[in-house]
Formats: sequence, C-alpha cells, structure tokens
Amino acid sequence: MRNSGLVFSFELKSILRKKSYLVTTIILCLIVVAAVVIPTVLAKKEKQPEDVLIIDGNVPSSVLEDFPDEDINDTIANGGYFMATDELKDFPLIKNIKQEYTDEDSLKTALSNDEISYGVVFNSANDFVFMVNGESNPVASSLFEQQLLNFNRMNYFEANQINPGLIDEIYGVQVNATNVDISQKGIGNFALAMIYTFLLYMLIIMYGTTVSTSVAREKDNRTMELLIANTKADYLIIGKTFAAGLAGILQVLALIVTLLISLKFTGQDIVGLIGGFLELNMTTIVTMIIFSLTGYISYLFIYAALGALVSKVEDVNYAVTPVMLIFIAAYLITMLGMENPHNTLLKVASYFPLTSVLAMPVRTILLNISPVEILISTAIMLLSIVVFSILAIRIYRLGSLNYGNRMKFGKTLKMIIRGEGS
Amino acid sequence: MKLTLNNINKSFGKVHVLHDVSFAVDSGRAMGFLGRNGSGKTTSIRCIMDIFKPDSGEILLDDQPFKPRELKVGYLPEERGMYAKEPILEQLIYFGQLKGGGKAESKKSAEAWLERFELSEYANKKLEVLSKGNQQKIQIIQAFLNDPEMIILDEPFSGLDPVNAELFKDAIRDAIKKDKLVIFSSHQMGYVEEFCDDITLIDKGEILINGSLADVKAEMSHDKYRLESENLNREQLKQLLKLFEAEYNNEQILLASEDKISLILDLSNIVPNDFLQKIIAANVQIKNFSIYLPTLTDVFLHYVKEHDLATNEMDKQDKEGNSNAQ
Repeated sequence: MRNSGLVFSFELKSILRKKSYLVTTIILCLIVVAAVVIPTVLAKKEKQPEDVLIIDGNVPSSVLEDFPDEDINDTIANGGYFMATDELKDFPLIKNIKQEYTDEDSLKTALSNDEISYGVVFNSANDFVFMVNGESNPVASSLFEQQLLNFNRMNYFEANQINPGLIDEIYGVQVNATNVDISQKGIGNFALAMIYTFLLYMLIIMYGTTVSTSVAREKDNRTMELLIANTKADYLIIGKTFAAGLAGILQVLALIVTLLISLKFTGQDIVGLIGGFLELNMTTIVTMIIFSLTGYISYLFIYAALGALVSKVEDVNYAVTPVMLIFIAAYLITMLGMENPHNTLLKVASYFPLTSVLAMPVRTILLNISPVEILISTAIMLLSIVVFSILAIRIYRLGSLNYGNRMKFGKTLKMIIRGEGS
Repeated sequence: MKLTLNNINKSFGKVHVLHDVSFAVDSGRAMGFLGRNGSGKTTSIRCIMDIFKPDSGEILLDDQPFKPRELKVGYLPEERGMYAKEPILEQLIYFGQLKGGGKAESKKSAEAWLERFELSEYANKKLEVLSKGNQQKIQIIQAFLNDPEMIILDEPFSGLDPVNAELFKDAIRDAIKKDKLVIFSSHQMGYVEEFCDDITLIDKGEILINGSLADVKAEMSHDKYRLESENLNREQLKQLLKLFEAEYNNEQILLASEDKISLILDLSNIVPNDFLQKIIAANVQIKNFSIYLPTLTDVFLHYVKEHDLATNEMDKQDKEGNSNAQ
C-alpha cells in the first residue's frame, strides 16, 4: 500500500499544480462571489419597494396624506390633464399635475410635441383616459386609478356617514393558512437537494474525465509500462482515483469557503440563512456524506478503468460515453423527481448503485424516509463500491497491458470472467 | 545471482509468440539479447518484468520464483515513456520511490546521475523542454536509479549521439563491474559485441543460441579459414577450389560462406598447411589466409538463415502432409 500513497501524492500534486485546475477554481470562486455580492450591491442602490406601496390594493386614504409631495411630484409632475367633468374638481391629485388643458385636442397636441410626458382626460368620477406618446408610464396610470378609487370611496363614506377607519379595520382582518405535508421538508431542503445534485454531477463529470484522460495519456505516452514494471496496477488505479477525488473535493471546499466569506462580507446572517430554511437531521447528513463519497469514488473507478481500455487520449470520449449516459440519466431522473419526490422512478433509482448516488440523498433531503430504506440502499451502495473497484482494477490491469486497438468493454468483461486480469 | 527462464510460452489470441523460451543469465556478465524485429525479445522481457503473465513456464532467480517488484530492477522499455509535463527531478524521485527506495535515497541518486549525464541544470525543468536525446538520457537515468541489482535495457542506444553513447557505455561497464545482472537487447551488434560476454539469439519466438559469445564464435570458426588472393577474384578462386577437390580424391573442401572480399573455407578434413602449399604452387598470390573469426553479425545471420531454412522446410512438410491427408 506504500506505493498507493506514493501514486496518490504524486498525482494529487500533479493535478493541483496544473494551470487549468487553478484557473477553473479561481473562475468558479469569482462566479460565487459575483452571485452573492452583485445582487446585494444592486439591491442597496435601488429604491426601496415602499415607492410602489401607493399603487398596491386596499390602501387607506390616509396613506396619500402621509406620502411626501416630492415623491408624488416625481411620479406625476410632468403631465397634463383635461377635466371633462365637474365631479372631480376636489380631486387632490390634480394639483400635482403640471398643466391643465381646456380641451382634449390641445392636450393631445402638447403630448405629441413632447411638452408633457403623459395626458389624462377625466370623463367622470369613475372614468378617465391615460395617454402617452410612445413611452409608457404604468406607475402614474396606476396611481391615478388607485387615487380615483379612494376618492370615490371617501365621497361615498361621507355621503352615507360611514366611518372609513371601521372599513379599514374590517378589511384588515387576515387569516393565516399554512398547508403542511408531513412527508415533505421545507423549501430550503429543495434548494439543498438542487445544490447537492448539481455539485455531485459537476464533480463526477469533471473528475471522471480527468481520471480517464490521465490513464489513457499514460498509455499513449508509454509511461504505463514503466509504472506497471515498478508497482502493481491495483496501487496505480487506487492512487490515481483517490487523488482525482480529493482534488475535486478540495475545489468544492474552496467554493463553499468562498460562499461563506462572501455572505459574511455582504453582512448576511449565515447561521440564520442556513438554519432558517433547512430542516436537517443527522440521518440526512450521514446519508449525503456516505452516498456522495462512495458514489463519487465508484464512478471515478469506472472512469479510470474505461480510460485503460483505450490507447490514445482522443479515444477516451468514446470509451466513457456509455457510463456518462447512465450518469446523465441518473441526473435527469433526480432533477425531474424533485418536483414529486414520491414518484416511483426516483424511488427505484434510489436503490440502483449508479443512480442512488444522487437519488437516495435527494429523497432523504426532501422526504422523511424510513431508516430501513436508507440502510438497504446504503448496503447495496457499499457492496457495489467493492464490486466496482474490483472490476475496475481488473479492467485496468488488462487494459493497461494492451497497447493495440481499443478494447471492447464486452470482450474485456468476458476475459475477466475467464479469470484473466486477476 | 542467476536468472533462469524455463520453457516460457506466451500467446496473444491465436498467435503463439513465445515457444518454450529458455535461457539463463548470470550476474557480473552482460547478456546480449538478439533477434529480428518481432522475434519475441520485448515480449520475453515483459514476461521477465511481470508485465505479461506467461501462459506456461517459469522464471527463477537463484532457483526461486522471480518477483521483479521485490528486487531492485532497473528497466528501460523499448517504448520510452515518462511524464512530459512534470519536473524532471521530481519524477525521477517518484520512480525511485516506486522501485522501493526512500525519498532521500532516490533524490541523492537522481541528482548524482543527472550530474554524471550533465543534466543537473534541467533538474527542475519539465521533461518536454529537453531535446529528444536528453529525454532519452533521463529515461536511462531512471533505469539506473537507486543502484539496481538487475538492469534490463531494451534497445538502449537508439536516439543517442556518439558522445552520449560513450557516457552510457561507462554506466553499463560500471554496472557489470559491480556484479550486476545486465540484459541488453539491441539491433546494434557493435554495442552488444562491445559489452556482452553472453548472447541469447531468439527468432520467431524460439531460442537459437544461449551461451558465451566467445564459445559461439569459436564453434562457428572451428576449422574454418579465410582466404583472400592478390591476383584472383572470388570467382576464379572458386574455380580453382573445384580442381583441388579432384586432387584430394574428392574430399570435400567446403565453401562455408563468403563475404565481399574473401571466401570462408571449411578445412576440417584437410591439413591447412598442405592446402596452403598447394594453392601457392598454383600461383595464387595469398593476401590473407587466416583462422576465420566471425563477427556477431556473421553469427546472427548464420543462425537466423539456418532457422529460416529449417522452418520453411517444416512448413513445406506440414503442407504436404495436409494435402496427402486430404
């Protein structure tokens, strides 16, 4: 096993030193920083949502009185109106409008000459026409509509001697209704399931290809002969697989640390953010750790073995396509299954080793799964990593000695069944 | 230390590559492993290195099963390969450690060999920045790291200029002096002749010769003489030899072979002095009459041609047997 450690350390150093690894890590970290910092900065710069409170429904008339004149002026100042009715002579908003016109035509002319940015024709207390010349102004339009509604209501209340405060009170009563599915967990868990699936997908695809390319390159440049002359193929594949695995995990850790630092830097409450939305227990955490690590390593073993079947780096893509398709299927089943985590396909996928790496942790994150189900799937997963690693070592051993044409996977399996490569 | 291969057979699919390959190599003596392209040299070496498992037969070191990874073996494969994008010293230390050496020992050894091969200045450079010849030297250094007990070199001189070849020759000579077991495969007969005390000749997966080079040459030169004339060309000499055959009561004067300038005669049934007197009396001006000492190329060609004839004859008999059976 000493040589496994040597191979591991040499390969890990080799990956970490690569410019492509460093550049990818830096770019991913910058994306994380940008994703956290930019929205925070933009939100601080933009006006607060209180600006549009006035156009929200059910606004008491008192709000208008409290609303600063300068804000109303900003919204409706540069307009004009034509009053075709006497019903609205006390409508308070008209004093904020720049210009009154004596007829509709002169209003339209002023609007078409860009003397004003909009025009309103008040036909009656509950009928007005809002005109613009190419550039819409939905805020002003809504403001007139809302205020006209309030004005009419106030007039009605006064005429019928109704206390407006009482009406506000009646309509202010709210009923809080919460729907709970006891088998499902919170919205934060959905986000966690998405992040888990995406990160593991990226890790396996990126580092699986790294391992298989590295093995194929050693065959291509004939370093393989020197390596297997000096140490066992088992030690080589174990060292290589774990080195690539750790390099991937280090990259993910770098992203997580960058995310936490960015959140802290922007003043966001990390503990509150995580704790407030997530419903996690020890079973879920342990399931995620076991399945992510065993699944990740299983896939890397398979990728390494497939890399050994070819003699040229350019043939790697052909060799890894079948397993990549299986993994993409696992990804799609899991992502689509998140919409309805009770679906049968996701449940079946959570027992099959090549798909349970994603499916079982996601089900555990989203649902309250029975511990028996988790234990059965874990047992299958642990058994499969043993089978996959033995199979991968034998394929690697056979493949590493073959310098000719690309070895067919089926033929290689037959050779293993015959006892070759053991 | 004695390495012995006993009846090694190896097939790839339906192709039987090695047929009962047997030979032995002693430490302190370099063995030249010769053969045509595709004769089975590299496959035999890969079997020794446990890269290929033989289908049958055994490989012994001092009568015990040989496990190359449990002994310090320096191996230079025919198809060279090291990491192009890794620093030279670092990968030499890595290979030294994989062979079982400690880190400090491997580093010390690598630095010493880099200095000896005048490559110290490139220790921290990537392999790919070196010229092809210098890359070849790094690969040779890899084989000599950590003072191996056994050194197996497959076509070691290909790609080396005469100056670097001389550096490498010194390294091989030192290894032989230190009682190392050296196996040396090459097409370049001059190098083999220069270093090797023993030779093994393989052809079509069968061993033709295994033994001391001196003995092999002596056997080939037994009662053979080289004849070259000042006034007759080879054809005229051959005509004259036919006349002598009658004088010797048709005792055969075998024309064993010839080269560009002389005839090689087999005088096993004739007293050489009598023969010499007769041809002088026949007005042949002698330029060279000497005991025939074959070169390694002569040995190689002689045995390979003999083997070709024998295998062709066997093939012919097999075909005839098959057609008769049909």
